[in-house]
Amino acid sequence: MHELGIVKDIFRTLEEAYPDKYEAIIKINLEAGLLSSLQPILIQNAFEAYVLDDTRFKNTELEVSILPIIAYCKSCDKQFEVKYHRFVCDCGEPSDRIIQGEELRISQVTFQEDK
Amino acid sequence: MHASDPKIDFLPLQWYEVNRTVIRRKTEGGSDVSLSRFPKMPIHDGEVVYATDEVIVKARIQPCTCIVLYTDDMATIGSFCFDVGNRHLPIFCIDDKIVVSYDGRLFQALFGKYGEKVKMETKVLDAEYAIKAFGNYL
Repeated sequence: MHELGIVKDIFRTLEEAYPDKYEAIIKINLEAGLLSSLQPILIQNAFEAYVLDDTRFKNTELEVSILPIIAYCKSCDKQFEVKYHRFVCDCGEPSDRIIQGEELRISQVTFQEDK
Repeated sequence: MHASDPKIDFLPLQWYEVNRTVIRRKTEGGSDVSLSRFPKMPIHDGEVVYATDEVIVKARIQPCTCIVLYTDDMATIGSFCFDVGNRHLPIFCIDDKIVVSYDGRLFQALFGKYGEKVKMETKVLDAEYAIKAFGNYL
């Protein structure tokens, strides 16, 4: 519901990080965990709305990757992937200790080489 | 198959990428594809996105984990769709079931309210099955 704000924050962050080549960005990779409350369709559509307005980025791609939920099992001392929202290790032990899944991060930025 | 038949290749897409205007990635066959489009219509599963005499590239929407509502009670269906729509999320109707893409927080909320009527399954979310109340999103 605040996806346009998130997209604006992404561009603001990148402008601060890369002031000299900010306008040469051709691809932004974003990683969103399945517990981040971020729905990729909303961020993708917000991005399309943003670049429609700011035509400097009309050829820029946003690629959203979904990160699975990874939890930690204390009994086995190992991590396991939570599938179908079942927070139970193969050994049968339940766990709500989340290792991955709540993140929302820019994982990679690609620039046009000749700029 | 004739020797001159074009080779069929597939461009993998996530369900939420069908409105993208710029897509650069490899096909399943390893070819580089660059799409630049100004979509009024989303890409559908199986749609031809590129074609020459030698090759035809079709979109292949990847299956994803979904939340499926199992009920015939119209009041429950209405309430469920309201709850999901209130989060601005697209709702799909597949095989006469209401389907929405899984995310952990959404599932917790829906399972808390609708209990065992809510299941999880793997499905292909093609925009063809999206319920369009206002023509937005898909």
